[in-house]
Amino acid sequence: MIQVHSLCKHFGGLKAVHQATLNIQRGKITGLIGPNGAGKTTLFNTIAGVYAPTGGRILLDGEDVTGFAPHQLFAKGLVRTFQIAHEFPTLTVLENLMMVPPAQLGERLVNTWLRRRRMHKQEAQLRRQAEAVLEFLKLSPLADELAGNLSGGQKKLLELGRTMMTDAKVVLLDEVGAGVNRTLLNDIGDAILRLNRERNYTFCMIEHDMEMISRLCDPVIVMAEGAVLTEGSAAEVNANEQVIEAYLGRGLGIKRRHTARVPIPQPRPQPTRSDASAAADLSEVADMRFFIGEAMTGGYGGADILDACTVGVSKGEIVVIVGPNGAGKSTAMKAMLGMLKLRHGRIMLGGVDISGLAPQARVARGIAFVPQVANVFVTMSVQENLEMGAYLRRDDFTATMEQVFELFPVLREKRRQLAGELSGGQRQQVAVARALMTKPSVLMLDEPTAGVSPLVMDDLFARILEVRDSGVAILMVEQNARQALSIADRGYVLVLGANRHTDRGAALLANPEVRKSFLGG
Amino acid sequence: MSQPQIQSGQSGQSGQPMQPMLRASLAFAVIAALLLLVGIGQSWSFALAIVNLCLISAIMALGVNIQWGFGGLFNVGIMGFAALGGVAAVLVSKPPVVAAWAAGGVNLLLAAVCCAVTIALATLLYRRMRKGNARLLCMTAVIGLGVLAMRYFYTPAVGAIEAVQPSQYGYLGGLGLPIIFSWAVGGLFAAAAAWVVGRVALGLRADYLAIATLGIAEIIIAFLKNEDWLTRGVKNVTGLPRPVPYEIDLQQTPWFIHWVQQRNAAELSELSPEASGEALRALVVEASSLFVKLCYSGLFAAVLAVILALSITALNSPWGRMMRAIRDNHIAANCMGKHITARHRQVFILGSAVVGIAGAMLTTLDGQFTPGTYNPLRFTFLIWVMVIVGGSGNNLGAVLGGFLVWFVWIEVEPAGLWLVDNATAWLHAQHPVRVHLLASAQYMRLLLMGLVLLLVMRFSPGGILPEVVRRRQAPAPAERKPAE
Amino acid sequence: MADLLNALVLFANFVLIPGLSYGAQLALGALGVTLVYGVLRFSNFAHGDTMAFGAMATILVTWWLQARGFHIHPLPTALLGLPFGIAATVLLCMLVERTVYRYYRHKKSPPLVFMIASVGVMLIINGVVRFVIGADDRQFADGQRFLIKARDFKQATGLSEGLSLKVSQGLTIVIAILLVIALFWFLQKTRSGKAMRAFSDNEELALLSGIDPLRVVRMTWILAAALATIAGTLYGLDKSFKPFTYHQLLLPIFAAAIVGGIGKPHGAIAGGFVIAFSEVTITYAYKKFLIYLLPAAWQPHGLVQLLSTDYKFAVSFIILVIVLLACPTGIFRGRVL
Repeated sequence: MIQVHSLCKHFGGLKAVHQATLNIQRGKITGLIGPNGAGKTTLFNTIAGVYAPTGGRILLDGEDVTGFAPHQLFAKGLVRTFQIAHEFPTLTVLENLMMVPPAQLGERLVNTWLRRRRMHKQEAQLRRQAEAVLEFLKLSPLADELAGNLSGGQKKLLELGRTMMTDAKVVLLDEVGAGVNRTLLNDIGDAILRLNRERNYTFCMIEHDMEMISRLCDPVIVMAEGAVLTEGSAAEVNANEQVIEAYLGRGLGIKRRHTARVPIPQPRPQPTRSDASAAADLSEVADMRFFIGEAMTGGYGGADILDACTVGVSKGEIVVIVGPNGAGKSTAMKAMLGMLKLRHGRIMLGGVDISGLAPQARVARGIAFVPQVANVFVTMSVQENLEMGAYLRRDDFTATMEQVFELFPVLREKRRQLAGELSGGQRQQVAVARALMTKPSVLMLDEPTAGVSPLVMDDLFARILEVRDSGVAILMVEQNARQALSIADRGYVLVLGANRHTDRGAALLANPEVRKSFLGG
Repeated sequence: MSQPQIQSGQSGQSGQPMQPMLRASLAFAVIAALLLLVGIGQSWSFALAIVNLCLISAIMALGVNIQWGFGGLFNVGIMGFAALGGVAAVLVSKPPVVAAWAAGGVNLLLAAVCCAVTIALATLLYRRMRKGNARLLCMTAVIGLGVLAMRYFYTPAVGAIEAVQPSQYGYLGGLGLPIIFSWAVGGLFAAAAAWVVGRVALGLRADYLAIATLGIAEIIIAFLKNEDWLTRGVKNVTGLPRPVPYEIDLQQTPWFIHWVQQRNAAELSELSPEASGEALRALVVEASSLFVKLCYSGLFAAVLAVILALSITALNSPWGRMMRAIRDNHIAANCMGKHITARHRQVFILGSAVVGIAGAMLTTLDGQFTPGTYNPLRFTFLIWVMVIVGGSGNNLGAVLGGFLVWFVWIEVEPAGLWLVDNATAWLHAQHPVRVHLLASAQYMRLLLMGLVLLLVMRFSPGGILPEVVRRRQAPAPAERKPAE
Repeated sequence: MADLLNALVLFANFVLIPGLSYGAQLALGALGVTLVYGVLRFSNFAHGDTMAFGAMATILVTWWLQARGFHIHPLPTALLGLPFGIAATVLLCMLVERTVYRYYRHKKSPPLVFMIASVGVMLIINGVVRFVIGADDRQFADGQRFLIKARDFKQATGLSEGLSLKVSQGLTIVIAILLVIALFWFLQKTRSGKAMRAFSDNEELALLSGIDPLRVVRMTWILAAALATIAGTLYGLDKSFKPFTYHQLLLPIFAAAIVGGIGKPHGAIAGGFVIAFSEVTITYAYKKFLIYLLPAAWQPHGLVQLLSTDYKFAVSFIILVIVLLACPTGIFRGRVL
């Protein structure tokens, strides 16, 4: 059906998709899974014509369609949905469906004036078709509602409904399940199965929910680092150690060979602590932790992403939040920073409730945050980046800058250079250094190693350990769980926005249940 | 071009306080009442003059609404397209100046041929040669030579044409056809210009389209002001023929006099014969002026009705649905198989053509073409105020905006004068502040227009008649309930 | 040899000096547009009229000073009025920011909405300016007219072509240079200037660093208002003050900002000079210039003018289009609009 031959899509230096080769078979529901940043959505966008590929070929039914525009691909029977619903907000639900069929008579302007009767006849037919689709999706009561007023899940259903308005040969579904509650998710799953059986649609779906994947998909393709890792049935993939490794990230052992020069970061030995204090260390007592988000519940729009989730960190400790994609790891961190409004729960800093404070006010209280992307001022020099980090400080911060330069000697060399001209790893250093300029008591890092090379990763972790040893509380979300847990004092495993496991980093790594949970479920 | 909607998620949830049709009828009733008031209070002739310009403004606003309300395209070059309509009126209706054609016609045609050949060659090179410095060099050479060749013919031709009785002609004249044809031709001119602009600027994002159209409008005006051989430039073309009778002719026409006499038989019979003759003459003069204006109103209203009907049917059809979908989210629409660039180009050309038609009508009404009077504030931004205030995305709204804003534009000046006069009555009649304020009262209207625009955007972002939500004609009551 | 010198003097007199002063005026205007774009992320259609407002405020104060007999001969009195004009324009911009733009920023409206709002602001300012000072030409230049008079130059050099440099032109160039230096010093060296650049670069991260957005926005309007007033006043001194001319300056100013790369201050300056020099060189009649340089047999008959002066808007527009097609980010890789 769709054959992809060594497809590449590079954004500048970033190889989002590199040499991906896969085959989507006719009449099947193919699942596409992989850790964050594996290039799944980029692959979809490239197949669907939103991006022009950097290299490689795409065949649709044997015909070369590389570089076709989206509307041309649609005409050939390829339809896609979007991860974030792309409804037409000022059209009604019914209109959202009725606009889909191609080559409608009334889409030619002249016909709207001269061939009104035939147009109306066709419209009536389209309306019946759309109403049938709404019936199928159980959306009929909402037919005349503006699509912009639907809930997130209903918009997802509508996206699916649009694909049913045309004779699609193949449908690409990008995370139809994201932000949808369980019941609706089952409905969507049913709809996909019925479409596949009754109308013989071919599907290819990106999905994080392994339950849904197991239920619907065969085969499942696993992507990692822009290429296809393996392919097989859901059960095979689930059991595949390689796949779990990909989700956990590369371990230290792999890179020890490359990083002989870099001092190997070691988790801080904790021999002096008694068992009792260690137990207390792991229990969630509010006043034990310096910075804690208690029973946080909330999300964007309607759906809750966090479900009574508790995360806390003490001074001089590294805490890592890990978990499958879509577990709410970054969201938990954003909630603690105040970028997300919570429905329940509170945020405490040093025993003071700061739930009501805006992000800026929290920054002023000593919380520093390093975002995952766009975390440096690219048009400013390294030194200016650091100065901006210290913007709130009115005192002389040259000493702090000196300390930061001690920590990241490379930055001292490059302090006159624009941050945008640095390599990825150096930029990451600038980002961390900028955050340190406020002399924070808490440092929060959102996936600091995303997209950097293993060598740089080790180096960065070594620096983070040094920062910890200076008494800063460090809270980190990390995709590369193996690496992160190996340096962490404690780790939280989140699944579906709730705490699943909490333990010492090494203990978590050794726990087979934790390893399983990484694939979702 | 994403989401032109100023409003975000309007209507729907907020619940509509009034049925859209009722709201529209009420709004138009208010306008009618205002115009009647002017008719009774000031004069009928003045009221009709306002109506005529209201009609033309409404057509222009419709054209802009096609671009903005349907397609989300931000065009601030309306003035240029209106002026192209105006020049069409000259070129269609004025008789050809034979002497000028004889003096410079051949050279001018040769210049046109040179121009065409240059463009053709340059296009050929662009398509055939590979991208690079060689192509750039070749194209520069071809265009440079072409311009030289063109100027070789063009300069003497223009000199010769402009020397033909400069006080009266000095230009080529037109085709000598009835001026009413120029309305269609004006639309075509504007459409052609829009096609060119669209080729360059439609792929770019909204800001660039705005600045590109701003520029093209200035260029068009500069062209019309300076190419005397075509338009007489700032010397203006006056005395354009009319599509309706002249007052002087009417006053001599027996049936008209008779008709006026009959209408006023009662009043006239009470007067003495001499006095009645005098009174009749005065009545005929007044009636002839009203009659002519009414003729214009009829013609303009007919054009407005046709364009309005076409826009409404188009917007209510699958085509309109597709346009609104593209406006809402062009990426999704593209993935649903709709050709975005082609549709954008289509509405851009159509909207500009409608503006061009209105421009030709305006010049027809004025009876003269005066390139110096085109001013972006009056011809571009005022029309924008009409569309936003009336209700973008709603054809009736644009028409309403055209009527209302033009009415305010005209009536604000006397109202402002009256206000200033009364507010400063306590000052000495020659007091400099009072004199200055009285002289400046006319500029109040720009200020007021800006204020109205900002207030509407802030407090009623959908305009007076917001875009209608197209629900099914007769939804069953059960189906109207929004689900939880 | 004398011919060559004459030709050069002619060129300097009619192309170089007018181009420099016009370019400086455009650059100052474009700097304002580019700053507003960089920080607030919309094309400000009201900028031309803001210039008119600033010039108007300056003129009113200047007239008052002139009537009171204050002079700083040989410099124009308007320089004394300038600070008051700037203050008035800053107040205006603050008022507009407070009543119009803040609301939309709070609502996170798309840039197009800001642009239409700026059209409304443009109409209002335009109305105010005409209401206060009228729509006609206003003169307010006084002091000495020339730094170098053509006749003196001829006598001094013995050439047949004269070179004249108006005080207003000299002032424009000097003030523009000083202002640009000051602006760059502010942006590169001061804490507030860096905060502005940081905000323009990455708004989210700037907020996370504790930069107060309101303060940055306020600073931007102050700078834009000051630049607009100075540019407007200099333009008025050099040519004359007429509200509509300022409105029409919008196009070359936008063109300059985009050509240089919108959001980049040094781009705005380069763009200003590119646009100004193209306008002047393309609309200049080279007849006399060529007569000096070419042998008698080759002397041209016509004016040798590439385009009539009335097409100067076309020049800025065509350069704009070429730049947009060739490199959409402008000379200095500004943001893609």
